[in-house]
Formats: sequence, C-alpha cells, structure tokens
Amino acid sequence: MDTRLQYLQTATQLKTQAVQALYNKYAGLLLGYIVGVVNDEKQAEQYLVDTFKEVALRLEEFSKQESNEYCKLQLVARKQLSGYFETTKDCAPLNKHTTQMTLLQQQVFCGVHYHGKKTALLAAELNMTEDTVRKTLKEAFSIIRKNNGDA
Amino acid sequence: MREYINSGILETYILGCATDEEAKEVLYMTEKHPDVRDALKQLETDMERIAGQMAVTPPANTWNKIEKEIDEIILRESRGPEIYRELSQKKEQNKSGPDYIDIESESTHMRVHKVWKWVLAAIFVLGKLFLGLAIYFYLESRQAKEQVQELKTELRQLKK
Repeated sequence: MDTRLQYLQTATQLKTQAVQALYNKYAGLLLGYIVGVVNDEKQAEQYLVDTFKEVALRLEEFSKQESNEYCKLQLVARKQLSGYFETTKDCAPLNKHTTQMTLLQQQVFCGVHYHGKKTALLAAELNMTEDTVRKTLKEAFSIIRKNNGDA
Repeated sequence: MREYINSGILETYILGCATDEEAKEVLYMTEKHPDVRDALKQLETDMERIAGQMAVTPPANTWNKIEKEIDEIILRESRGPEIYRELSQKKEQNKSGPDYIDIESESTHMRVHKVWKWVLAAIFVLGKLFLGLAIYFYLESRQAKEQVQELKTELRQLKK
C-alpha cells in the first residue's frame, strides 16, 4: 500500500512538473492568444486552465521532439475554444499586425486564427477557391513577419 | 518545391485548419523534403515569436488551479480501476459460496414492500369500523331484548 502510494505520488509529481514546465514557458503566449479570441481575461483564464488540463491528459504527445511545443499547445487551446468559435461571429479587434492587412487578408487571417474556420468554409463564405484562401493566409503571415522585422 | 511552400498549405497546417489529407501530405513532404521541413520549422518559430509579442501574464493563482485539476485527474485515473478490481474480487469471493439466498438472519427486523403500509392502514380502518358496528348492533339487540321483556311483563299483567 505504501509502495503504491509512493508510486502515485511520484507519478503525480512527474506529470505535474512536466505540465508546469510547459506552463512556465508558454502560458503567457497562450493566454495572449486566448484573450485575443474571447476578449475577456477571466473567461480566457478558464480556457487556459482547461487547455493545460487537457495537456496533462495528452502529455505523451508533448514528449515527442519532432514538432514545436507552442504550436501543439495552441492546437489544444483551439480545441478547447471550438465551442466558443461556434457561438461568436464577431471578428477579433484589430491589432498592429491586422491593421496592415487588406480586408480580405484580415477576413482570412481572423477566420482561421481567431475563429478556427477551415479553409473550405472560408472559401465558400468568401466565394473563392481554397487555393486562394491559403495564398491569402500566407500573405497575411508575410505581413506579420514584416512587422516583426524579419522579412 | 518553392511553389508548394508558397501555396500557404504550411500555414493552414500549423493553424490546425488543414484537412486530414492535407495534414498527411504536409507530414509526408516534411519527411521527404528538407526545404519543406525547414520552412515549417521557420513558420513554427514565427508563430511562437508572434505569440510572444501578444503575450499576457496569467494571474498569480492560475497555476494552482491547474495543479489541483491535474491532481484530481491522476487520482481519478488511479482510483477507477482499483475500485473496479476490488468490486470484482468481492464478486468472485461471493461466487465461491452456495447459489441460494440465506434467509436466516440474526437481524430482528425485516423489510417489506411499501404497498403493505396501505394494506395495514386499510386493515386498521376496517377493524375500527367493524368494532363500531359490533358495538352498535350489540346495544340495539340489548335494547330490543329489554323491550321484549317489558312487553311480556305487560302482557302477563293484562292476563291477570
């Protein structure tokens, strides 16, 4: 019984430490993204808690080295936000990056980044091909990079 | 290959809005082509840097909330199968005994169906009713007997 308890405590500590390491590194970044989506810090905090709770359940995926941890975390956060995406139609407020974009680029970037829309849906909504949506998204990213002085 | 990178499919993939086929294609292309892999890595780094500029510091107690939730998850994970195992073992132990219900019990109480409450209430009310009727008819009969006795006495006196 004692051995089992010790094992449980160790397992709990290890899992908690692994999640905490991710939290320390990326919580601010994720919260920034979530706040950008929901525009409410209290609600965003709850989504952040739900996101890291989900991370604890899927921790094995984060031990693989092949892809970026932040991008994986953002996908987990998007999954948590999927219910919110369905209820809102308002576009996120413009920021220093989106103000530099054309209206079409803003629609595509906000649709994908802040509303979790698939390219097929956006293409149908904007009456264009999926290829054009992808290219527009690429252009939007190029503008963001340019703003960051990287292009 | 440059055309593939410039198509915007990597951006779509990284934002999680690519279809399953597109995602598989991107994974295949990153394995086969170092250019695509490098472009994807660059994009991931960009995403992280963009997010870094928009970062918001979480409230001080957010981590405590998450830690509490994780502890509950781990406890739930560890408890679930254990309870099931213990229950199963008890069932196994019970199965080893005889296949009939032992009705002899040391308890002085017994459990009956709820409907018996109403049956007993009806028996009680009917009992009271019959008791009342019995008393009524007894008194009636006694009174009648007394009247008959009086009449007999009057008749005897008249005959004299």
